[in-house]
Amino acid sequence: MKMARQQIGKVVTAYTYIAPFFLLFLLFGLFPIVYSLFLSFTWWKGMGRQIFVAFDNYKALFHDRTFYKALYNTAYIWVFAHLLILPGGFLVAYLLNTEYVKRKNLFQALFFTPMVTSTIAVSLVFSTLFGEQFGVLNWFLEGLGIQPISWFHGNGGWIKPVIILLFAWRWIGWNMVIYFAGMQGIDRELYECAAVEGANKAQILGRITIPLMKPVILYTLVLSFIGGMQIFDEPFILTGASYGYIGGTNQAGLTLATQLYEIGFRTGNMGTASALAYTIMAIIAVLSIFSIRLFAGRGERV
Amino acid sequence: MRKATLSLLIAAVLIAVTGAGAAFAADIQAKITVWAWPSADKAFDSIIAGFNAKYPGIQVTWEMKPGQAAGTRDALLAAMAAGAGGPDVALLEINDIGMYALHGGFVDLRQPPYNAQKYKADFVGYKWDLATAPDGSLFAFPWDIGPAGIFYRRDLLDKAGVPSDPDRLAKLIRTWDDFVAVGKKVNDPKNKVWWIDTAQGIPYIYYAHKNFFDKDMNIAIDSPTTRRVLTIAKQLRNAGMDAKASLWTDEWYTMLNTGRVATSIVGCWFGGFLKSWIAKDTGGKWGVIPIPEQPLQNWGGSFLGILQTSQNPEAAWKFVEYVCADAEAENTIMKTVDYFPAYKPAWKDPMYDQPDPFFGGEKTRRLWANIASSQGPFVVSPLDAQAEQAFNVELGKFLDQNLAVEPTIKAMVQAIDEKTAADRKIVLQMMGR
Repeated sequence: MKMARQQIGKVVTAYTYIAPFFLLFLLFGLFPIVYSLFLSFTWWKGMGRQIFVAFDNYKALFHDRTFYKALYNTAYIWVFAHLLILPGGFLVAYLLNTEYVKRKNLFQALFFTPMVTSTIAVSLVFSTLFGEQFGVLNWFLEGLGIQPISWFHGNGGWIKPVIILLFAWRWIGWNMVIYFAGMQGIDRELYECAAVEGANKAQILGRITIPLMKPVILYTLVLSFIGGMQIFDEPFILTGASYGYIGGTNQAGLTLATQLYEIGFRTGNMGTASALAYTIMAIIAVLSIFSIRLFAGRGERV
Repeated sequence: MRKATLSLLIAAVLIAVTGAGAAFAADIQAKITVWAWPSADKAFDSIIAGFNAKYPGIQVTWEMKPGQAAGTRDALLAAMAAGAGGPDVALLEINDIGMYALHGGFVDLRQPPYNAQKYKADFVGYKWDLATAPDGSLFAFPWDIGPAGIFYRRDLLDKAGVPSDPDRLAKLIRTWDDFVAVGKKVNDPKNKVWWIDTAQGIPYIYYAHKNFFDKDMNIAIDSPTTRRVLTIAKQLRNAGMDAKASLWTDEWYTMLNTGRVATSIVGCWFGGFLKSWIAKDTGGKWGVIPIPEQPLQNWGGSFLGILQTSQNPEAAWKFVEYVCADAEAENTIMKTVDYFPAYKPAWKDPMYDQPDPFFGGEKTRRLWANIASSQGPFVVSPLDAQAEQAFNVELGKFLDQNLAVEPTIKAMVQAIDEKTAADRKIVLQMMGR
C-alpha cells in the first residue's frame, strides 16, 4: 500500500522529533556498551596495544578471591540495607497515608531531604563522626562508659553496618515517596467497602493495599537492584584511604563498583574492568528478571 | 635598485634571519600547559622566572587538577583516551608510574631531539629504572624522590627521658629491636601518647613500590626480611604501641599536630607537609633518623612526562629538563616545597648542609641525600603498585586480626599472584622473554 505524500511527511516529522535521543543514545550509550563487551575480551591499558585474550579476563576474574569478596560485600550490603529501606519506606508511607498524620507534605519533605544531599559530602562527614580516636560517636560511647568501637579497623566487622546505615539513611525517603504516591492512587472506596464487610486493618493491608501496590513494589525492587549493586560513593569515601586499597580491613567495604574503579583506574586494566562491568550487568539482569517473574507469577494466580 | 627587488631582498633577509634564529633554542616560541597537583604549583612558581630568563619564548601555564594525584591521573587518562584536551606535560606519581609504563602515550625521551639518555648517571638508579618501560623506552623524566626515615617528636622523647638528639638517637636505634625497646619507654597510651602512628608503616616502607618481584618477574617477598618486619610490626601492635591510625585522615593529622604519636615512618616530602599545613606550629619539635637495618627506603616521588599529543614537545622538553635536571632550579624547588631532587649533582650545593630549624637545627637535607645514596636491594617493576595493594590488604588483616606470620606470607604471595598474573605474562612478553 503506497502512503500518501502527507502521510510520509508526517512519518518523517515524527522520526525527526525522536531522532535526537536515539542519536545521542547511539553515540554515548550503545557504542560504549558494545565496545565495552569487545574490550572485555582484550588486554588493554587504556592506550597502546590491545591484545586479544578471549575469555582470559573472565577466567582471571572468577579465580580472583577479591571478586568474590566484593560480590559478597555488595550482596550483604544490599540485603540488609534494603531490609531497612523497602519495608521501612513502605511502613512510613503507610503511616503517612493514614488520617492520623496531619502535615503530610512536611514529613514527605523531611524524609526526602537526605536524597538531596551529596553522597560524597555526607560520607566525609560520617567518616569524621565515626573516627576511632577523635570521632564524636566514640566520644559519646566513652561518656556512657562503653569501650570505643574501632569502626573502620579492628576486624572490619563494623564497616558494612556503617555503609548500610549511610545508604539506608539516604534511600528510605525516596522509596517512601514512591510508595506513598502508589498508596494515594488506591481508591478510598475499596477501603470503605472492606471496612463495611468487616475487614480489620491487617486484612486490608494484606489483601488490598499490598496486592494493588505490587507494580510499585516491583518497580522499587528492580531500581534497588540497579542502584544497590552499583553502590560506590559511600564505600569509596569511608574506606578509600589508608594504604592505597579500598575497603578497610580485609577489604570488608569493597563493593563491585569500587573494585571496578580500582581495576580500571588504579591498575589500568580496561579489559578486566570491562569484564567485571558485564558481570555486574549480568547479575543485575538475572535478579531483575527473577523478581519480575516472581511478581507476575503471583499476580496471575490471584 | 627597483622597489620590487628591494622589498624582495628585505623579505629574503628577514626570512633568513628568523630561520636562523629558530635554530637557537632560546628563541623557541611556544605555549605549553602542565597538569599537576599541589604543591607543584608553588614549585613551578619558584622557578618560572629563571626558566623564562633562559627561554623567554616559552610560555608555561599550569593547571592544578582537583583530587590530588588520583584526580590528576583520572583526568589525564580521560584526556589521553580522548586523544585531545590533554596537556603537553603531566606530573606522574610513583604509584601510577607502573601503569603509565604499560599504558603508553608518552614521548620516548631517548630519541632526538631530547637525547635524555645522557643524564642517566646523574639520577638515582631506581628512579631511572622506574621511568623506563619494559621495552626500554624512557617515557618519563625523574623529578623528585622520597627518601624515607623515621620522623620523631623530640619533646615526647625528652619527656620520657630518651635522648632526642638525632645522632645519639640513631646510635641508640640500630635495629628494630632497639626501636621497640626505646618505644616502650615513650609509649603512654593512658595519656593518649603512642610510640608510632601505625605498625603497618614498617612492613609498608620495605615494600613501598619495590622489591615485590625479582628481575624475572617472580614474586620475591617470601624472604627472611619479610618475616622480620612482620614480626616487629606484630610486636608493636600487640604491645599497644601503635595508634592504629589511618593515614591521610583528619584523625591522623590531628594526632601529628597535637603530639599524640612519637614517630611516623614517611618520606622526606612529609617535612614540607608538616611545615605548611599539617603541623605548622610545631616548629623545632621534630627530628629525623634513618630507618634501622635497611636505610635505603623510598616513599613517593614523581616524574614529568611529555604526552605524544603535545604540539610543542621540544618546548615541553626544555621545561622538563629545566625543572628536573638543572641543579639551581632543583634546589630552589627544594627550598620552597621540600621536593627532594632525584638529580644527584644538585646535592653538592652547600644548602644541603644547612640546619633546618623546624627539625631543631638538624641537617635533614644531608641526611636525605645520604639515605638516597645508600646501598640496598631495590628492584622495581611496572606491577609494583598492584602488588603493593594486595600486600597491604593482607598486611592490614595480619595486624588487625592478629594472624600468624607464615600463613600471612603465603596469603600475600597468593594475593599478589592472583592480582598480577595476567599482567606479568604481558610484561615478560614486552621485555622480550
